[in-house]
Amino acid sequence: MKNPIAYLIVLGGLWFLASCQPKATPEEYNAKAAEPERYHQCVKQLTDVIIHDIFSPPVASRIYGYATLAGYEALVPGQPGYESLAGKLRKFTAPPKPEPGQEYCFPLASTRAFLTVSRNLTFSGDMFDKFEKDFYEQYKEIGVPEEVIERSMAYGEAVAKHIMEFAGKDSYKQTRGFKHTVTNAEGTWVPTPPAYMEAAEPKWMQIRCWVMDTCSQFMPPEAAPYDMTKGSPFYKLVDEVYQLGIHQTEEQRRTAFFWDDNAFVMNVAGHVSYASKKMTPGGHWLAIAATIARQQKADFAKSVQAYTLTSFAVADGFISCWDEKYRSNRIRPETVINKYIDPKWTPYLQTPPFPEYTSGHSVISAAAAEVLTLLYGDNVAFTDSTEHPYGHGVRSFKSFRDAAIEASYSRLYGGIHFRDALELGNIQGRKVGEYVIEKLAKKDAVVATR
Amino acid sequence: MIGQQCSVVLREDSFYMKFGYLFILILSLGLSACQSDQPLFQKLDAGQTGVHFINQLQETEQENILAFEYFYNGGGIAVGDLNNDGLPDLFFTGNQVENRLYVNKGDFAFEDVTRKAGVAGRPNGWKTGVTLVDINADGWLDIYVCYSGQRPDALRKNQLFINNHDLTFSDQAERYGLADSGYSVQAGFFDYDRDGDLDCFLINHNLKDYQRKEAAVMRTERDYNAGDKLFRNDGNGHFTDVSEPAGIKGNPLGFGLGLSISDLNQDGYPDIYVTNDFVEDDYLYINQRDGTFRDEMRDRIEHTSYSSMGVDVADVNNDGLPDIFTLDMLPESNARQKLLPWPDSWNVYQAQLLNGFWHQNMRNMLQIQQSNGQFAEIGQLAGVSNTDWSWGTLLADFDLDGYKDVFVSNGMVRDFTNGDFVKYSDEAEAGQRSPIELIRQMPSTRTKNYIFRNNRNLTFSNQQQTWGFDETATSNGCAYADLDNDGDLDLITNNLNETARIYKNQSREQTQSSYIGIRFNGPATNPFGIGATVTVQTDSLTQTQEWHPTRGFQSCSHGDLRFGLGPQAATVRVTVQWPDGKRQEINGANLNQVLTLDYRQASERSETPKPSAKPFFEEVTAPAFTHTIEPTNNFDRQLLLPMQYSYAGPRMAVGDINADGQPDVFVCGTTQQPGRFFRQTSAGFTPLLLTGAEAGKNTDAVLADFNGDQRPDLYVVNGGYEVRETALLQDQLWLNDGKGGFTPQPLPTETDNGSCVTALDYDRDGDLDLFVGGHIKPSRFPAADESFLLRNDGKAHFTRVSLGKLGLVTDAVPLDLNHDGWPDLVLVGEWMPVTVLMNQKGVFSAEKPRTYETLAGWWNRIEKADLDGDGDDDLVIGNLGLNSQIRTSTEQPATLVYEDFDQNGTIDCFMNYYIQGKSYPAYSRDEIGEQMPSLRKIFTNYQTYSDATIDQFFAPDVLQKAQKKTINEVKTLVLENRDGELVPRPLPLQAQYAPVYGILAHDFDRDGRPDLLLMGNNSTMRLRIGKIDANHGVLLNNRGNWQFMPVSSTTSGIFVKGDVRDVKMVGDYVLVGVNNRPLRVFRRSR
Repeated sequence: MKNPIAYLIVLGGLWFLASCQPKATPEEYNAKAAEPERYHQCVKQLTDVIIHDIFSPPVASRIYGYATLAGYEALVPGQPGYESLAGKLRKFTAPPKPEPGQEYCFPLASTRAFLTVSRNLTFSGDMFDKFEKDFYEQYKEIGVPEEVIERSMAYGEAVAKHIMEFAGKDSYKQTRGFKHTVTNAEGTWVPTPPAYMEAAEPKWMQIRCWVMDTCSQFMPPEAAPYDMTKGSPFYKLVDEVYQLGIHQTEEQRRTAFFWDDNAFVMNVAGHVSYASKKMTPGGHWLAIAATIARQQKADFAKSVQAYTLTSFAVADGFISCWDEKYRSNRIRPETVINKYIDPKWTPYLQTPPFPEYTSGHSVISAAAAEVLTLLYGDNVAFTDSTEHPYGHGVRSFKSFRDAAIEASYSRLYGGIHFRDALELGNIQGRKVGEYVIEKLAKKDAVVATR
Repeated sequence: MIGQQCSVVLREDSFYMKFGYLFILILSLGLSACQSDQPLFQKLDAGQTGVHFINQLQETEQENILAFEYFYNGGGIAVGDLNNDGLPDLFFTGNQVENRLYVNKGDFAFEDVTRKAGVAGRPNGWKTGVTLVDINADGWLDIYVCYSGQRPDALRKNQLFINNHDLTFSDQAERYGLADSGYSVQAGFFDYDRDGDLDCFLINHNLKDYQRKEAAVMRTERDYNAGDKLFRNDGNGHFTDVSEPAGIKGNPLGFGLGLSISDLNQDGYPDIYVTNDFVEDDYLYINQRDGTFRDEMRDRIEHTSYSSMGVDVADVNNDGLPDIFTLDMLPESNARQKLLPWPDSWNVYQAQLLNGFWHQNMRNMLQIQQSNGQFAEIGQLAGVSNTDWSWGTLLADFDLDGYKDVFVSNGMVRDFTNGDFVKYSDEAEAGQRSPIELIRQMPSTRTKNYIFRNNRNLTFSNQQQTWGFDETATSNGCAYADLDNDGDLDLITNNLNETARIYKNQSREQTQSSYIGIRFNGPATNPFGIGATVTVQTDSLTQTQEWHPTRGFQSCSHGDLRFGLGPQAATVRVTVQWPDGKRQEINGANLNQVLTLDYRQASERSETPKPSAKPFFEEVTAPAFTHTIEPTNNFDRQLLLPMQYSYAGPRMAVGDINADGQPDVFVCGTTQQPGRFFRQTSAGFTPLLLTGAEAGKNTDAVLADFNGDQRPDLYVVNGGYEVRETALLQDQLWLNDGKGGFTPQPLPTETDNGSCVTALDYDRDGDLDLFVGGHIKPSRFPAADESFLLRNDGKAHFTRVSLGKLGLVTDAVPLDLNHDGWPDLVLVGEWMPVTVLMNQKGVFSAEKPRTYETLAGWWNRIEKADLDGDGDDDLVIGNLGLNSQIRTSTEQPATLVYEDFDQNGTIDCFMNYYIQGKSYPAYSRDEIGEQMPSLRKIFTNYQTYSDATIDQFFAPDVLQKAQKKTINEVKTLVLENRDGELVPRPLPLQAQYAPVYGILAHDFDRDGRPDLLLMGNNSTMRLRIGKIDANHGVLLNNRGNWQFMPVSSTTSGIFVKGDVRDVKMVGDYVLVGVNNRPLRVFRRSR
């Protein structure tokens, strides 16, 4: 380009183009910002970080709970028909309000709040750096004015700060640094092969409940008492797991593997070991929530709401379940089968590191299914391919409850739970889910299903 | 450690001790450095030697470290004279590549004769260990090569290359019955049944990693491929597998990696040590002299390496008894300690014990044989515990000073246990990667082989730099031989993916040291005399070697024996004991020659056993009493705790409670059993329950007269780290009714976790007052509870006088240090300096204690005695000792940095100690992340944590405000009371074998000077500190002038394993209180 004037003209033109992005009206850019795919991306990002950082299932459920709460609360001021959960969620006070008369892009505030809390509660900030670098650029591209972006981001951060303060008082900190004492008493839990990891989160029942009144509100009936006399109810439970293990069908194996959701499977071969990491059960159900939202073409607000309520159901489910796990402190099938029946028997799935009763996956799947059923209706058939990237296949279900029941039984097929822990766990979870709906979602649900 | 060399050892001990451990290193470096600028060993160039052998691996989709976990174990070496020309030749095994045989042409020139010799090995076979043996007793060495790998059985048959006397060989393994097709690692040949010919022991390994849970069942099984085997030589050119009748374990848990043969128990019959990788215990097969073996591991050894690899057995302290050295994987540097896994879960460890496995920790173990056939493990004290991923070790006198040094080959092609690989190599596309891709993700770190000089005092100093091993290598098999016949031992290593190395030893060139070599002309059925034991004596030294050439990993050193004699040797006496017990003695052998010992010159006469003197004490039947602690795990309460505090006691108190002139004893109680008396009678001790006493944790007690009726009353301190109910912390007082009955008496209310009590009349009003030391505030380590005085009104009515929080006080003695007539108090404790509370006419100035800041230690006990006979009491203070990873000095202290940093109501306490000149946290990234999840945000992976110090944990101002405690002295010491000052004096190294928790000053040998019996151990330290248990009752003979000499347990008569928490003299008896074990009683015998 030899001509300096031509050079200047081209430069000027470029400047003009850059400064004159398409002027969009608030209606236009808000509509684009409210493209639900943006929120789905954020949730997926959080799931990836949770997998990378290796959070145990209960801890992961807590992270999802606060992140989705932040995303929800930063959205509702601009979302008629949706209300803040202040006063409904235990000890949750009203977050800061947006400045009246100012223009906001609430879907942006929502993602900002979600990501800020996500980053705060996880470890690998660099993973969020990479994600957010491009993520916020999208809002410029769809024409959200610079100052609206700034204001909305700031609002999202203010909500996030409020949520973090709320999170700071849930006893999470106070429950760090404790371990479960293994007593080796007959019938009680002991660490399991191959990694013999410590029992996860022995004080989780002390975490503040989300919606439930107390951790033991939905205490399941007592588990079948430990008794290895042939023919005793417990013996029958053990024998069932063992028999299923040695006569496993391909379908049972597929089912078990599909719902494995073990955050940290240790592959051990001599000195060589490496972890296979997957979504936690909670992460799996949020992924299902995403699938359904897409399938049902749910809008931004409804998607956010579904994530949020599902997260609470899952989080309370874990508190309720963990309360029982460390009360009953029941032995795992692998331990008892090895001791009394077959020392070489190994379950198809790796036994997760905490007591057996009730089954965490059963409880939280049922709780999540209740919430999704309320929001989207019963008998919503869907195909779940979210586990596909982890090599776990694709499965179709008639309904959410159907999926929850299958998730529950998968633990029996996997050889890591007894039948009563599944069936009673499923009931326990349903009650948790119903209570979450009862307290938080009844009114909205009516709107949503109309 | 008895006999004429002791004075030498002791002198050096005390000399070194004065200047600290570090000084030994400097001194040794200096010694070697001033001899020559050249390193002791010179690595020879392959171009010069002609030895170009490379054990090259090809990683394929089918064959790799994920498919075959011993893919990187490498090959072996055999050194020996295969053509009988007087020069040792070299044989290397290749895993995937062909074996190589090099003939020694002299002057370090070698010729590859593999092809002609026909010893390249079976095509497509995976070769492992190699052993030289004259199997047909024709005077020519044959070669036995082991096979393993993921290959069909037919490719795994071991080969026996019979020497055709012309450097050609024929495989006749089938004919001899030795074509075993298990997964073989190494064979050793020895005459276990003393029938004159050589039998064969073969170690095998499994391919599949069985889990601990299956152990009990697995142990009852025999696995042809994985089980070790004993083959008896039938004497007709055939061997028979006699493993099962001979008591050799053959279970599928076996991952045999190392094999040593030695007559460990000196009964003339060879024994076997087998190292096993992973969970299976090592085996210590003691020859029962009837054709069978018994694994006496648990009877003789208290803990072993975890992933045991190479092993060597030799006498490293020249006491005539073979010692055992096993290798593991603990790295020396902090970075690698943090990057690679180092077991840290107490629960996992307990599960392992419950599943029937023995105590195993991840580090090299040096087991020093004691006079009674028991072993004391002192690898950390000796300085040889951390040599990274180690394969082979050779204990041999490389510098010809008369003491065996240590060589360790190490190296791992890939760090497949790297924490970041284990946790983060897998993202999203799990299970979809090809093995080769996964393997490429594994980091690779090259390490240096280790060589240590024997400091002649049970410690060793690293000579990697000065002895020529300052470059990295991946070495597996290793062997030594005098390749150039100049008198010193040269070293050879078989390396992975790089040329094998030959190191020329230049001791003869660089030093004035003499040597003597020994060659054997054995009996007809064992021409090389395998199994002979040779003792070489000079004026100052007696050395012993056993002639068993299977040494080094998968390797065989079949040269002549070499004895270094140092520069001063003049006359030499050589004694040989042949495998059948015949003996021969040669006086005045010439130096610097190879002496051939001829079996035909030996005679039947056996050595007349020396009459052993009667020991000072003899064990007698103790009253049936087993101290019992409720199983618990303090690490569940405070997961960064340095040790468990619930496993405390029993301490004891002595006094004549029934006025029969015979002192009795009170043994403190636990939550499982009330404290109780044992009354001394003519028959020993009979229990006497304290009426009304309930089960509760008594941390200490004292028997003394508090109400002036001349009868000892009982004060009991109650405490405990785990106690939640403060009422349980209330101490108790029992008054003696004069008939041996006791009635409780009220005391001022208190809720302190007391640790110790001592009675003294501090206000000089004629009655005995009490000092009670405060220990850890329950569940709040390292926060301290209060110490206090109880002032007596003469009628056993006490008033509490608080002394405040003086630290984690563990023990106290009254001592009038300034001779003003008012008893002062000397206190010791954990993470605190020796502290003196001066008595100012009945008032202790607790605010201004006299502290000995250079004596900040992990003090457990204090005792007083007039050790130098100057009329005042000196002090003995029991510390952590030197047998752990924790080393300290004033410049390099261990520290506790603590505070409730995250304000969650629990103390976050981080212990730090120096590693290679820098202070690092003593915990893994996982552990600190569990304590404070926020730290995981700072250390997002293992790499970022691998060089982290406590400064990176917190902002400078936070750290500034944090509380600190330090330790700069870990040695157990005596303090000379010199004109009111306390002057530290060193003790022999044996005093540092383990933490000391029991001190008895008593004149054992009746020479007028109190001797010291030190006892202790700690098996409930956090796993990485590990079980420290090498103190079996260390008796130190007071020789006067602050010289102490260790006395063997054979002489003392006192030998106790376990965590001793108190030792008391009760009349003519010594009582030993052992935690969670029975009470032990010893009676004076002379």
